[in-house]
Amino acid sequence: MKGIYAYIVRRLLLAIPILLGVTVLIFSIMHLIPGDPLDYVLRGRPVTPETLQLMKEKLGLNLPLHVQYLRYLSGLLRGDWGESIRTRVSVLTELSSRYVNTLQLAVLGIAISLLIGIPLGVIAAVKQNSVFDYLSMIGALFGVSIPGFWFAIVLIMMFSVGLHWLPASGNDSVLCYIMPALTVGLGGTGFVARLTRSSMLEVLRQDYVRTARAKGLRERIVVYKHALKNAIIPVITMVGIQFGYLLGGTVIIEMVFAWPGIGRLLVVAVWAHDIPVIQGCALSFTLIFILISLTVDIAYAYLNPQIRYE
Amino acid sequence: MFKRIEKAHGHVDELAEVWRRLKKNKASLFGLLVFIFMPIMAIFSPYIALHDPIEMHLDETLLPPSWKYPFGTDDFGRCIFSRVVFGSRLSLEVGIIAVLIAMIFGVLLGLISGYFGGKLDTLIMRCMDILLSFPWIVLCLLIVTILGTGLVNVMIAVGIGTIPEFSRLVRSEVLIIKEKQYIKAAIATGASEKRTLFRHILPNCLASIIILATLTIPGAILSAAALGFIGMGAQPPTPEWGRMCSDGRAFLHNAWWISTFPGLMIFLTVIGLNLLGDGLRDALDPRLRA
Repeated sequence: MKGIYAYIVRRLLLAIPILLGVTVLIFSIMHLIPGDPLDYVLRGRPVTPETLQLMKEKLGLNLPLHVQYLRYLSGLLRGDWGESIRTRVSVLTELSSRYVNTLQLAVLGIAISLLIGIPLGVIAAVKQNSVFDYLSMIGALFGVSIPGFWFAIVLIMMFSVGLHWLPASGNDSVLCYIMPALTVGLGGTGFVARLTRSSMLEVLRQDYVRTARAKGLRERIVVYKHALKNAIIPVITMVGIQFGYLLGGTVIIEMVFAWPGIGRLLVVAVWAHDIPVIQGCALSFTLIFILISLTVDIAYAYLNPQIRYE
Repeated sequence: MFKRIEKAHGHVDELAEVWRRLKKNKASLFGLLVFIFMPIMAIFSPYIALHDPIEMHLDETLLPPSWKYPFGTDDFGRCIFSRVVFGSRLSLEVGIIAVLIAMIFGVLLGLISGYFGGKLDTLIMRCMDILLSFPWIVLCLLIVTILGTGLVNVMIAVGIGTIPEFSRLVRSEVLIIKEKQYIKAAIATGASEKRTLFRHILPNCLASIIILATLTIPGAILSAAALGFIGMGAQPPTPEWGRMCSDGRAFLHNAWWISTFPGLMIFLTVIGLNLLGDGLRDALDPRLRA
């Protein structure tokens, strides 16, 4: 078990340069947008040259770029993420009320993809070339090919407009979670099912599975204890890698269902050119992403002892 | 059988073999059909469409599907069918150009990274890691913030987001090919680095690059449609599928057809291209068979 702690520490240390790179990129948006960064703050309000100079100094825009970056970085660490140009509210306050909602949606989405995708893939692999195999793989292909926003619209038309069963927007009751979570989970389900199937097919051909069967173990035990335990490893890794895609999907889905998460905040900020909010949202999305990748990597190291000693 | 042996030389036979394997898979044939049908629809849009895609008929708004308007009309009385037909041009353009951008930069970076190794390799791969640590849409939105909204900027954004996939693939291929005898022979006979890279190594990566390109085009189309949906892409009245889906949201209770048909087209296009990509991968490189 000792190896795993060393692995976690090493993995955490590896995340630091990536995080720094991410902050450099996010910091530089301010200077990459065409025109003077101050134009975006002032939005055409008339100001005297003295006020302009004062604002420049307050925002540190007259300092050399690397000093500005260090100021930005130390601000991030001190919890000063700037304030929204539009609402004048601190970015961290805006984010803190919303990120739980996004996280909920993302975690529910992953849970749905794993809970439906893995059994579907396992059964498809065990009954390779059967009707069930074909049907579930067609279903999986549908899952990865349907545009999430369109699936969401179809759900709304069916269950909100047509049947009046589920609310079309908001997040104030349990019923509100059903359609957004399903939509987020859909693409992931297809992806997980396809991956589990191919991984299982590979493992079922291995000698140790044949040995287990030859020993006279029940097929159930062979499939779920011997084969699935090994087949699940690549699935977990890929889910970690694909998580960014899933998280990206939540942005769109939050827009469709008027879900009060970071994704919606981000899109509205992009519309309004509210740079500090854009930076804050991008950073928190990336932080969530890196955190979950880390968790998945650690889970992977836990499942596969070989990786710890690499 | 004899025919195949007669022609058993060069590319003709290889292509025939790929076609033979592709043909066995009925699903990828459907994909191929979509792959052929899409450009035809895009090129001949003016002849397929029944009306002008942006012409308004203010006395014929929100009409359900009929013979005159097969997919109905929207709130400006525009023909959804014609808009969908013209929209195929944009989707195809976005998919191909975004992947081309990703391919050109990704392949170059991958070649350099894999061939020269060392600090350059570390630097390039760390940059790719940083790009990959953004959820795709966040990266796209940052790029759109810098460049502004519009279809071309969406292509660039989606393209940049796809660069790491190509550079990682090409790098890993180069690392393997670099060690092959024929590359050592080429270097020993005095081939320049440029020649070794582009005449000897690159052609041997081509199969994987083509497979990855076909596999990433549907994703690029989906991403671009999603960006269009949230208003970052083509601006009205351009008939872009994602945007059309979004515009129809205000009429879900009385005009389901506005959002339904453009979304269905995205779905069919993406599923077709996915099937073709899977089929091609299996036919070109059985090692990768999923």
